[in-house]
Amino acid sequence: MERSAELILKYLRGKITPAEHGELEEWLSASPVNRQVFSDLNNPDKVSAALKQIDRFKEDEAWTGVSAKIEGEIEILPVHPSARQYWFRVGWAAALLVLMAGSAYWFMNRQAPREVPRTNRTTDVAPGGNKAVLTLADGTIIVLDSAANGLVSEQGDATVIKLKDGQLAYKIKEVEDDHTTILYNTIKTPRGGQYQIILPDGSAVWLNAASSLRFPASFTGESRRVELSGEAYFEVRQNAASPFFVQTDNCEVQVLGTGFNVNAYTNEASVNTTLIEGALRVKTIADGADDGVIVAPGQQIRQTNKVLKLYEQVNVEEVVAWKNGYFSFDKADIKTVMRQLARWYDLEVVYGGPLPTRRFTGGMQRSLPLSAVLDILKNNNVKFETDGRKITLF
Amino acid sequence: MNEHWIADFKNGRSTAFNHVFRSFYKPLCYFAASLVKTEPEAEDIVTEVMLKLWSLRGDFESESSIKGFLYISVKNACLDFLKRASRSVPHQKEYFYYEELRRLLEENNNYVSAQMAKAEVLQEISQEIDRLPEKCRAIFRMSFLEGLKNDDIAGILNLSAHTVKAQKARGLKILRTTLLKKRLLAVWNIFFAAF
Repeated sequence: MERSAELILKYLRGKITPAEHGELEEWLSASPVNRQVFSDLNNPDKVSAALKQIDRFKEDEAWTGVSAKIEGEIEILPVHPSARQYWFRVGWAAALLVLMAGSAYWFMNRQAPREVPRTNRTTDVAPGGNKAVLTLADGTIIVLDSAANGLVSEQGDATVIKLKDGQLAYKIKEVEDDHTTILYNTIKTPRGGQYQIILPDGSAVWLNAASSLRFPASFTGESRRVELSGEAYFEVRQNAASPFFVQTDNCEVQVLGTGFNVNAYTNEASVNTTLIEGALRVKTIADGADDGVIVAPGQQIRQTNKVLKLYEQVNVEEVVAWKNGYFSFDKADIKTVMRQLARWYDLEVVYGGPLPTRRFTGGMQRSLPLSAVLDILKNNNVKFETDGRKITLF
Repeated sequence: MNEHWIADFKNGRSTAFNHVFRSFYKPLCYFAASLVKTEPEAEDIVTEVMLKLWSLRGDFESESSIKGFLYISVKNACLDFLKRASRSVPHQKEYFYYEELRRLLEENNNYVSAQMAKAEVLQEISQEIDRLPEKCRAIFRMSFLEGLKNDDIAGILNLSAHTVKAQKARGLKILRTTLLKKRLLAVWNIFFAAF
């Protein structure tokens, strides 16, 4: 650290010694630039403005690019028991069963039966990527993966622009006439897809695989409402005059803050809303008059049917790992692990016998090809056979 | 992040690298932007430096050696950028702009180290705020960074104005023991009371 930075921090903490104070004064008298920096750091308005500017840099995007570049170099190392797990770790032993994988394959294909290759790696499956489909208000469908960067469409007051691979933005033009009808657009990711969209108010949404978000092309009126199925991470722009609502099948989340993750996959046990930053109010749509539950950062609401349960001290890193390019599991069962892998690699998962009862803790990058993931499963004593995108556990 | 993260980082665990990235990326961009003046360029420069850090990961034994490497590399990369930019567009308006910047930075070594010091202090302050207890931090950020008034925060979070004030005071108290001087604290109290 720069010596002057050390001294300034000691000064701000009230822990500066007389000798250090002398050093600080020498630094201050050396140049007007130094005096300006010192004065700015003692000024709450300037510090606040600087922190805001720092916050604006787009760390997540940058990380996505970086992690993709380094992905080939990550070493697979054995796990040390005391440290935080980065790879799967076996919880306890499980029973094994032999499965007839061939018969299912024959049923699916009407051709004459042929020998099913029994190797676990025939052709490798690529991991998911930036894929999504945008449906405009009039029903026009645009495949975003292959769309060129730049203007994609105009929807009422908004222009829709593909900023780059994986990122779509809605920008509001000058409004010429009064209220136009609200134009709803839907962005949908396939299995193995993900996309980021910037809504007309500047809020950012990261959509995970097999998910869809329905939203108006421009936000007018007293509230901002979007509908979600699947999973998304939201960073919402603060606007007290127009509260932001995320609606899933049975659940409505009112945003009072900024960063949160909603997991509303229909094949998961509950709709989970996890707050990273700010505050949320979550309520079930069935209870009209209910005030719902307020969620604070680090907490998670799980909704099953009409019941909301609040969980404290959730492993937030695990919940948003997908957005940061990882899978992350904390004592997850095999089905949870396979469901996530299935969505990202577009797999069909079949359970050939009693499920392994072990739990998995650890993580790995989403940019790995399937073969690497299968190696990890093998190293953790999960027995399976693969046939292209179909994986059968036994 | 546990205490073993440096070893994990040296060994190539990408989650340890992610921890470094999250700690340093934004303050480094702020520092780079103060030198090259354009934010997208700043982000590109910092990203390149991060990749370079990763390629040399076996050489680092401590967080402070990583920090030193990052800030110095970003500084050098910014100066290189300005040199290249001023050379590659001669006879155009941008040439004079980059040339001026480059000269300012080279002749005034002081300016660069002062900006570096500023970014490092801001990084510390930002990390102090991030370490506040969750509810306290949320209220603190809404008030201090987003400029919301006490009554608005109370309405949004469905809390009493009294609770909001108490949480803010709690945040200030925690920050005071780690960061703020008494005089600065007094100024901040006036700052908050005005809302």
